[in-house]
Amino acid sequence: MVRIVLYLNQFFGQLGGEEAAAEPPRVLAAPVGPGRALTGLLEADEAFVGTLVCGDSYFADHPDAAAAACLDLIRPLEPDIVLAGPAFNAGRYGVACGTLAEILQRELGVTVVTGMYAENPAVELYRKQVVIVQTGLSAATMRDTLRTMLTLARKLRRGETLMPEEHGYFSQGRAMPAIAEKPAADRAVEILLAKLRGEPYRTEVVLPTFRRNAAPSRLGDLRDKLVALVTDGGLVPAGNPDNIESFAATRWGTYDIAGAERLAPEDYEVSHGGYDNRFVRQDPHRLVPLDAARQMERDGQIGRLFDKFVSTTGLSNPIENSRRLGREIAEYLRQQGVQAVILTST
Amino acid sequence: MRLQLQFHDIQSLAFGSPATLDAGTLTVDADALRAALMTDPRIADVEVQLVDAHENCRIMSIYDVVQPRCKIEPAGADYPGALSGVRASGDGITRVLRGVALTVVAPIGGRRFLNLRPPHLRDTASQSFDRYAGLHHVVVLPTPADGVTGDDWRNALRMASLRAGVHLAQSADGGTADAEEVLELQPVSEDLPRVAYVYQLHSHQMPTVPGEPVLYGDNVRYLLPTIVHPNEVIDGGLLPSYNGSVAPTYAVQNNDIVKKLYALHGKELNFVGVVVYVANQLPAERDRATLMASNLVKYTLNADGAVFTKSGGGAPNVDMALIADRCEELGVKTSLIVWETIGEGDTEDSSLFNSDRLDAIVSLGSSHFQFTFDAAERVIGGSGPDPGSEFAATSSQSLGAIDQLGGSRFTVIRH
Amino acid sequence: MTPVAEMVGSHRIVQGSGIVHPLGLASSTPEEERSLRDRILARAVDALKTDVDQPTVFK
Repeated sequence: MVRIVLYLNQFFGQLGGEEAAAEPPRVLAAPVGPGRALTGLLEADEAFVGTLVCGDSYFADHPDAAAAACLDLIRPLEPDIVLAGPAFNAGRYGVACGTLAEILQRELGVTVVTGMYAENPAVELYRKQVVIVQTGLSAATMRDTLRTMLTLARKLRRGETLMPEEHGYFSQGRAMPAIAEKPAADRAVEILLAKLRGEPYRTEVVLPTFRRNAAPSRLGDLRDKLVALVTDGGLVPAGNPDNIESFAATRWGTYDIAGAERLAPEDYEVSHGGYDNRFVRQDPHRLVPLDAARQMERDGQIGRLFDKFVSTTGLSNPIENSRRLGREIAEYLRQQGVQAVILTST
Repeated sequence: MRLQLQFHDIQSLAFGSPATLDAGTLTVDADALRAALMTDPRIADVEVQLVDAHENCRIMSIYDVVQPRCKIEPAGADYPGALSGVRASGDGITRVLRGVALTVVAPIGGRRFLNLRPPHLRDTASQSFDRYAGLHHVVVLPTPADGVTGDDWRNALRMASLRAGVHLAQSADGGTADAEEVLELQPVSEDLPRVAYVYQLHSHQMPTVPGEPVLYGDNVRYLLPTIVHPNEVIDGGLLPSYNGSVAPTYAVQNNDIVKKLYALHGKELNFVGVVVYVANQLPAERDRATLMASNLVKYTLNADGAVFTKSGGGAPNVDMALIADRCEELGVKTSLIVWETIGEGDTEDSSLFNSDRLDAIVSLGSSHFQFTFDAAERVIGGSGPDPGSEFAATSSQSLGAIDQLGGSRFTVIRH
Repeated sequence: MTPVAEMVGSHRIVQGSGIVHPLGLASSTPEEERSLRDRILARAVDALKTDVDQPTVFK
């Protein structure tokens, strides 16, 4: 039997209106409100095993506690599918559905589908992590919306690939390979013509947005600071002991330079396929300037050079990888008491 | 400038002598072809094999794929600056053998493979996503003479690929063409939008070497942006660099941007010319190219719009984007073609540029997607334990999957 | 590739000397190269001592 649970807020769960918004979560055995419509949509091998109801304010005010409580209440029901909402245009309800869906997917591995109207602020917050069916504004469409949510949940459980236009959910932006009907050249000329004519057009590649971090404040003087050399040019000891990949690197390494004045070319190699690396192989200082940095140490322009240099390969790397590498390297250096980094890049 | 292409369609290949083209069958005289290639003393021996379109065959270590063509008028003016003197390109008459490719295989110097049966692509009817699987291939496998290595060997391979292509095309003497096409930029209505093609020829993240023929035999190492007629870049005046990171010679000869712009010339647009440039290594060179190329597009070609293609890996995205961005700043609308590095299921792309004005970008798919190819019955150029077995490879390793000149249909969709 | 560094939000960016040798120049003598390297590194140290509030390229 495929076990299905429905999550509703206080209103659709018939606890009351806004005055019941602070109600904590509880499980109802018998179907209420939309749950009755859901009962009529089930197939022979599906069973509606419970309705979880929680007040929108309760969830909004204590998101972690609410999510944990919901998790504890849902777990014994052993659901295969959870349908959350639909929340239509209700913001707090949408956030509750999104938060709960994410946690259920992660902690219980259960298939979760929710539903929202396009302007619900929770859409942009959760569309990448959770499948959100596109709904109308009015609860009059409840039955059809539930039908769509259930249909998608069944497909997801079967491992089918969903497509936004065909299946009626908000694109999660997940990349997948496909073959276009026309070659790229035709598409490039056609999109240009649309742009020139003032006709609508849509880019195939959406450029990434980068969150602006606040600039770290300047260091007054580096005379007493611990400075590290880091590179993404892929300089590694001969033999590449840490197996740093020459593109799409998932690893980074730290390499000893304690007491060394120079990097001997024969001791290093380059694991990076994106630039002609013979110049760096001839003289690694062209990438990792140990010689000049040591001079600065002697002259007192920097306090001390960290006794390792950090290296990875910045070529053709999915951005999620790069972000993780950066975070890990930064955390490592911080723990080592490094106060400034000179990062060299090809 | 007026170029007449005479097409001869090839339906099958066969070994035999003399070399002829008769009723769609190209008879290949292997000994004559070997002899022609071995006029270069750097080549010690040549093996020749024939492969049918869509055969259950895998060709490994491909150095280049060339469409067999030869100049009829002016006769002998093949690949000016590389194979012959710099006399002409883009004018006169060129014979083209269609449906066939001259494929050079070299374990040293070759890189990509071609599986003539399609790979498995989840949820999509299995179909070839590249143009090469549907061609008949005359495969040559040259062996270097003793002591011939490095750039010298790569030059020998380049010359061999051109020489072999010309040789095959010349063997079709005496036949009548199956079809003809004339490439000429006729004057058109001033109402039509003026569209330029901004063509990045090479990326010097891998610098070319002296003697490496790219544009009329020049190695374009310090090429300043300039303007050429589209016929010049498809009729032998332009070749890919040795490492072929823009596209094989076949794709350069059949540049799909040029084809598409020609097809719409006089109907929906006015194809005003091609700005060629290289992606540079040094910042000052890059700044210079940005200024000069965008100036050419705007003030010399007076273009309303421009289509951009690139070469190489990730860094040259920046060169292309800087020029395109300046074009947009000057009021010229742009569209760009890029390949992506996004992983399957990933939601963020790693494009190396970010500008609100660059909002018409076409995807060639991602180099990170993996495909599984079934075991092949026949393998050419493979070494190692079992080159014919089932294996997985990424799109960047498979010839023609990602054609930076826009000739491929592989793409990324987001769902 | 300073435009990339600016795009991703690096705050202190020092212009290097080319993709294949950010702190070198193959066409010069070893002494000239070392001198160039010293200058670029000095610029990096200066950048660390400079206030910035957005991506800034130090040339």
